Amino acid sequence: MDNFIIVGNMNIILWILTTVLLLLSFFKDKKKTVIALKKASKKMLNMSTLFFFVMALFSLAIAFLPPELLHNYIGKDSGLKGVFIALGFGSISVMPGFVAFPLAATLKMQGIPYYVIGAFTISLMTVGFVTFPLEKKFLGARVAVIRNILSLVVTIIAAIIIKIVFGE
Amino acid sequence: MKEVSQNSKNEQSIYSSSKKKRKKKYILILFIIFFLGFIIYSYLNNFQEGQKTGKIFFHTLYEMLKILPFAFILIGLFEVWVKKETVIKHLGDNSGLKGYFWVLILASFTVGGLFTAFPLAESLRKKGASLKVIFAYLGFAGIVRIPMTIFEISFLGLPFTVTRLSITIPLFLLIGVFIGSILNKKDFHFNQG
Repeated sequence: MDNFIIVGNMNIILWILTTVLLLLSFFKDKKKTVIALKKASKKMLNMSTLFFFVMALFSLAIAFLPPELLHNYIGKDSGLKGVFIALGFGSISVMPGFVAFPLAATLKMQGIPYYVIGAFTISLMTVGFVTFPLEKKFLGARVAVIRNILSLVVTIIAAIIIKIVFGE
Repeated sequence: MKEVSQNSKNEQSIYSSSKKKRKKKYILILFIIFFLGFIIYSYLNNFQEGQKTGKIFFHTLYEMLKILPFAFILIGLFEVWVKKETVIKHLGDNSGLKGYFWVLILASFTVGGLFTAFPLAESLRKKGASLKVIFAYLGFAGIVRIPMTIFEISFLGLPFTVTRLSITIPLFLLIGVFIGSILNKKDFHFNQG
């Protein structure tokens, strides 16, 4: 539970930091502060449609690709097949850390090796089907595809090294 | 005369690309309307997966609204107050390894995921940060965020997290250098989709 408190506090730190800096900026130069706020709202507005779109994809992915699904597919003796299932699931699905890591811990307790778990968590962090539209907006399709493929390669390398390090 | 026709050609292409963008936007809005319709339908007809989707959607929306406006104000303040020379000095093409170190720290404090990482990357570019450093930042933003890492340590143990970080940080640094140096040659601009 401590973790939830720390993560909750991160928000409070963000709120306090933003308020303090905004006030400081306001007292130093009102004009500049107004420009900063205008820029902030323009950037948010500029992203709003895509934001709701990605959020919709995000919630559909969580609802229709629930963590239990991964749980059912990865067996104890899964080995290389397990790595690929973990990679695929991690790339396509999305879930917040407080869902993903308890799931990973459960898998570990059931005897799934670290390298399969790593393939899942690292691809979850770095490869994003759902966030692809967002990435495409900022980087263009080609760069976004390259970035995601390279992230997949990093995940595979990491899984191999984790296998060696933990000797599983 | 030649220049004039060139200009009107440019204007035409800008016009048609903005038209395309608008069309894309309408498709997205249509999807969102269908999505909301689907949620309402699910609640009326007791469709469980749909209800779950709705719950997750509004919950994440609420969580994001607690973060994003503040993060964007910080980006706005950054654009107004931080001088271009400062960014060039610390994150520019000649900043060396130090530049990557700073964005590693920045990435660990990034909140709101890619929704804030991309706009921030765009601002950094405007201020003269190196593309290599920026793409390293985008990679780091996925793997070193503090809240996520704390969860990971408590559920999978410190040895796993240390191993993962010591593999992925250097690799994403290399990816940043790789993509950045290619795009440097190609006159790359953010926000082109």
